[in-house]
Amino acid sequence: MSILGLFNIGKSALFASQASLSVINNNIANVNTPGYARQDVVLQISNPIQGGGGHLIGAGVTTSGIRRSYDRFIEAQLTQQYQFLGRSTSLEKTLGGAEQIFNDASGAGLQKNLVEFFNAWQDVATAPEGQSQRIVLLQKAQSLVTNARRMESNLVTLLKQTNESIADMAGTVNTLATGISALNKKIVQLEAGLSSEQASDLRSQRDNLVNQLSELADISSFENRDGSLTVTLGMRNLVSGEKATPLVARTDTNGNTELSLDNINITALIETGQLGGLIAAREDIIDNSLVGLRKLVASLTKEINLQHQAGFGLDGSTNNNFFSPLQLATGGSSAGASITAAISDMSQVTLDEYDITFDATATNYTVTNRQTGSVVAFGLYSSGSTISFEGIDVAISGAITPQDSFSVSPLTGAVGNFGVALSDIRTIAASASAGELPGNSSNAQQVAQLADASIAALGGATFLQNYTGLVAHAGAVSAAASDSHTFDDSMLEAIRAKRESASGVSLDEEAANMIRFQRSYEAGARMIKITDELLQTILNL
Amino acid sequence: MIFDQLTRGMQRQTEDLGRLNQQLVTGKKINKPSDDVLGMRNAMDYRLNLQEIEQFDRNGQQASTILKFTETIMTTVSDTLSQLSSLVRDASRGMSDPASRALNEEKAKQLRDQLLDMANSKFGDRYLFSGFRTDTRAYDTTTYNYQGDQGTMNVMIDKGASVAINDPGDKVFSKVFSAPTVVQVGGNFVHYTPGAGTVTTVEIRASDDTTVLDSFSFSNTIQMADILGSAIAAQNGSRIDALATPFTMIVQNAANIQSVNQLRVKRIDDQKNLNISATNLLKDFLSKTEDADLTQVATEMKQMQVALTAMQISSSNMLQQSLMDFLN
Repeated sequence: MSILGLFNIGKSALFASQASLSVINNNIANVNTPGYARQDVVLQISNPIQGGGGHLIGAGVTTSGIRRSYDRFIEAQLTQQYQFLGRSTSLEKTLGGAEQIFNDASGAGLQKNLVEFFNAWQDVATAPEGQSQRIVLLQKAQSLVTNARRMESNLVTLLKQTNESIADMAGTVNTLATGISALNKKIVQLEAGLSSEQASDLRSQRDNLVNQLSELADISSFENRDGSLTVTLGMRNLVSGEKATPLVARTDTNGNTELSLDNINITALIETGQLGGLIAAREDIIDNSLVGLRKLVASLTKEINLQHQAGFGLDGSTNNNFFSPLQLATGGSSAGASITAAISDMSQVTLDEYDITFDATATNYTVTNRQTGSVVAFGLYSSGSTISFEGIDVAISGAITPQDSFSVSPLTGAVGNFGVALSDIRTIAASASAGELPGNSSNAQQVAQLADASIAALGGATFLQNYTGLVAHAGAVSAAASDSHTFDDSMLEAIRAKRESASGVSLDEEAANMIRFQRSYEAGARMIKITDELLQTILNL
Repeated sequence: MIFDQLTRGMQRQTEDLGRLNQQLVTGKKINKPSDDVLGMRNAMDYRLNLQEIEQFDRNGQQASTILKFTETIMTTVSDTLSQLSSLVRDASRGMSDPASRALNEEKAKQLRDQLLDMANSKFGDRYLFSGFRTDTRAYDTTTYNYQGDQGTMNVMIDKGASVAINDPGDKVFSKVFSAPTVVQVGGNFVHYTPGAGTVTTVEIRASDDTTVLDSFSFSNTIQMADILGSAIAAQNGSRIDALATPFTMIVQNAANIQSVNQLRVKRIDDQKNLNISATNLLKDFLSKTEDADLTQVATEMKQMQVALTAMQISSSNMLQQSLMDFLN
């Protein structure tokens, strides 16, 4: 080796130290960057060269690449935990909102109104001829109506906000997916042709986006051979290479936001992440709180009206409704037919919802109880005839096309139409007999005793038991969501701690390395100086 | 890493402090259903029972007031009837003296009117003895006929338990004979025959128990008192004597009605006492379920404040430490 070769060794030492210092600098700069994985320079011995005497002499150091401290297993755990935490965060927030609507602890709920309503009937029963008792009864009934409607309106607003959040979040998913696809493109370009080198910074950026995406939805991802990442959602590709497929949010006929990828509805497949949480919370609120409240109000309307109709007012009038009568809501999908439904016998009405479906020939119909799943009526449909089942008459106008389906629900409008039908206190039917006015109050007693009656439509529970059940459910799901949020948060903290120890930047470690490479840089420089002095010596000969 | 842990720790402590603070402010440990689902359910049950008992108590109070008012009326009714009963004996004896006859006739009229007033007593707007026809006078002021019905009003004093708060006039002032009765008075046979409704027909027969000497009928004690007055004026001794038995019986009937009334009041009082113990018990349960133990909350809060301060101090010290500080 010539003396000039020493320059090269010194130079390689300088370059290696410089590269390491740059990486350390980058690590320190990114100490607080989310998702950043610590990097270090991989140093390698340069190929030796043959010196004088045929011996192989070392030729310094080269940098073979920059390595990212990355544990695939921990990253996978982290991604999953982000999904769980996202779900429990949404559930806690949304179900916590629903719980506040049923918060009888702060006097917001319906229990007080229900008890006061039935107590007011007892007051009327005790003094059936008293005017003030009747006025109070109407006031208490009105408070019950107002509060029930307020609760429903709050639930509907909460659901509307949830639907809006789902749509907004779909937008964020798309932004992140686009970001990942753009990074895919850059990573593939950068890594193409480099066998051992990875675009570490870009990968860290992409990991960060994947984690953010995981917080929103239960995505799965796998890396392709070219370094690009494919992200799937609901078994469809969200990101594939450079292409991001937009997640589309649409509002269905019930006002619920549905999500689709490639025109396939994947709403039901999204279970975790904040989206999964929102979808699950929405379902729980609709199926339990909203339908529960509507069913309670519908059964109250039905039972009170039936009993009230049997009695007589001070003016001798009878067969009056106390609350505005139940109305049936209809819906359906048909090219040319529409339906109208009316209650023919209130005592037969189960307060369940029904689906009427026609077969492929458009001649046979089947009526199914949506809650029990049982078929309550079926047969051959002749145009213009009435379909009757469980106290309900349905009339269809227009031409039926094959596979038409219609729905009839006594619940949808139960709270919306809830109101006190009576305005004249004399028409309150306290008496059981027209000839025993005004002292007979047995009908008022019967109404008051409905408070303790087992109601078939409420599964045999009393009105108040049913309501307590609604409160307990709202509380239980909210408590469960809160518990799982605490658990998921702790789990995430533990996994992040593991990730930090594997990939995180320690300022102390970086500082120590900085001194190390500063010194080796100085040593390399000194070597070049010495080589220079040696050359000077030779030149001075 | 350390920074993250410290922030999370402090956040958690602050949340806990907030929760305790809410308990202190509201005085309740259950501020929303999810704080304690089972506790909330129980608290709702307790509160429901308390509200129900409160209503039954209010009903009982109302019933008790009416029954006690009726009781004072019935005392006067009994007294009046006893006086009428005595008058029958006195009238029979003092018939020959015109002065005492006039006095007795006047007495009979007075007592009749008093009885009519009592029978038409009102509690508030309600006629007490008209059955369900509480807006109608029980007895007509000229014919003395009953205008009410047989309705009995009931008041709920507990789940599935109710107490009657009135007796229809027919039951108080009319019910005398339930079966045909024959009584021998001074050699005559007096036949009392209950007819349609509350009418009792009285036949005074001679000693052969066949020849009808006199006959009259009445439907209630007011009419009896009226007949007594007329009989005194007409010096009709046998008719006066014939009234003795019905008056004795109706005095007994009034006493029976009174004792039933007293039993009703007693029943309501018993229920009220039961309600008081139940209310106390439920309030105690409710308090244990939903009220916060303020001493405990305040102590926990103090502990938590100390822990939070310690964490804040230690974190500021820990975050300051870095190798960077030692490099010049």
